[in-house]
Amino acid sequence: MKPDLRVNIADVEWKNPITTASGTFSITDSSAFYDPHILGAITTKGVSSVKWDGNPSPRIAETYGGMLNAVGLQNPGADYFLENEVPLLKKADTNIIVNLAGHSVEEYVEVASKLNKCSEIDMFELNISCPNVKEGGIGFGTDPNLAYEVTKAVKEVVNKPLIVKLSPNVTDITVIAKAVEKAGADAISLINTLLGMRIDINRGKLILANKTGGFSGPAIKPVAIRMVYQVSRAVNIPVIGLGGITTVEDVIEFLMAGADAVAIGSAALMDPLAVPRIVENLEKYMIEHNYASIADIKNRFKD
Amino acid sequence: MQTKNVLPVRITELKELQKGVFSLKVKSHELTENAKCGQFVNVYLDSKKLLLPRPISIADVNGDELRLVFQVVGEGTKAISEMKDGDTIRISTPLGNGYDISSVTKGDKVILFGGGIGVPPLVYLAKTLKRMGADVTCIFGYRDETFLNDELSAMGIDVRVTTDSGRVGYHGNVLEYFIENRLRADYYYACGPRVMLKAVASHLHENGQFVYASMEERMGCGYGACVGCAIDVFDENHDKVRLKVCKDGPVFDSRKVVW
Repeated sequence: MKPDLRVNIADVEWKNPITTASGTFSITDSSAFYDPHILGAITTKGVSSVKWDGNPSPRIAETYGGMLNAVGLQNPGADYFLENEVPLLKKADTNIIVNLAGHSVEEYVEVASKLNKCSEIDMFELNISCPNVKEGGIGFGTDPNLAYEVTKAVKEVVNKPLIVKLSPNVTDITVIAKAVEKAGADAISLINTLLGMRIDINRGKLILANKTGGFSGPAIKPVAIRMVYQVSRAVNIPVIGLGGITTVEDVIEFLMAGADAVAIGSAALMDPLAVPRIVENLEKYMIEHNYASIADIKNRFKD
Repeated sequence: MQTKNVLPVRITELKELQKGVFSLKVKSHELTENAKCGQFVNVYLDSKKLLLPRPISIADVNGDELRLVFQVVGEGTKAISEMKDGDTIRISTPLGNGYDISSVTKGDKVILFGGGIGVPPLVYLAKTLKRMGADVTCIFGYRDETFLNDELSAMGIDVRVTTDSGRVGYHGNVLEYFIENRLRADYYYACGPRVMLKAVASHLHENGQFVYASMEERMGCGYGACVGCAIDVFDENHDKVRLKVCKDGPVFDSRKVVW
């Protein structure tokens, strides 16, 4: 029997529980390798109200089991996005989640208002956890009061489900999770990258021009699993789990930890065919292990 | 639309050309059929430790044979150099925009500036331009040991060699050689260290000319998704924009680069 891969995230039906992690999917460049209709949802790179240049290069450093990035949310801005990317995104037969970036509550509200009118967008993901953006970004994700404030303000100007993406760079992530739930978040995604740093020992200098960068990749998975486990037990809204997923077994682990859906990020950078492979393997895995639905997988886990 | 792919292919030949410089050949119609001069491929390592692809320029294409020439500069390139003939390696189809040779016509004078490990992509370019009937001169600069220059000379391509050490060819760099010999061309192409590209570009700009320069920056995904390899470039309104070396480059018109 064909398993049912569908999940419902904040009243939006996904054909399967897999989306892309923000900043790792490009509608033109990723679609050159695979057809994005296979996804439960596309999550876009962060979009800000106006164009952002991001950080100077070098922005990438490889590290054991992962990578650091300090892109700094370079993006062409909401107007360009609406005009040039939405027409391409809407051709993909799947949900569109737009990741929202800002430096201040006003900027988050501004970009959310601009994009809310666009009927092609199914959900928003509020990025309050980018470690590479100094003002805003992670500032909002590490303080429960600010997290509450920005979530509430954005929630007031949008009528699409709002996912809030949390930072792992906090002492107790459940405090932030509860704050954004209280502010009206419809779902939570976690984790964003861990703050890291690397030194080029031959030059005696930091590798990244930004000094620090966000650490992602398979090495961070246990941290993500732990936090998904904690957050999914602390809130009553759906959780999208991400952090180091490279195989279908990783997807299963996140679902068992408490995730309702998952996102694949660095794996797609390390292999452009990783996403279609994992999607394909999920159905195979479910057939092989006699799972009829995603809920079945989640229910198999006993604390 | 799926226009790109990553394919497992067998290594038909892997040999060391000079200390630390390796030539790798694979056969694949899909990898070679649309390859353009100046493009690169991503080489994927089957390693739990080295997760990001290694972008390597295309040194040559002969029918279905793809040739890469790379220098061992870190653990990734070292791992590739330690593979054996017959091993399987995963390689992407060609990426990036290659050298713009669309305006070059028969009899045009073309100069190619190569610096060190920037020489390999110019091999395919020199052969292609020669086939088009262009009058090609290569000026290849090395620190001390040379590579690939002999192969091109053997094909009847005019190659001038410069070395920093003076051990082979002209003692000095490619730009000094170019100036000293009062050379001039209709089109210029270059690949090499940024400092060389910058020097060549500024000299040519002073004379109202420019060079198609292949730029380098630390890449993440190497196919346009991560925006890791950005460099500053002037757009048509002379506003500074950050473009991706992997996607918008690696070749840029030197007049547009913010040096």
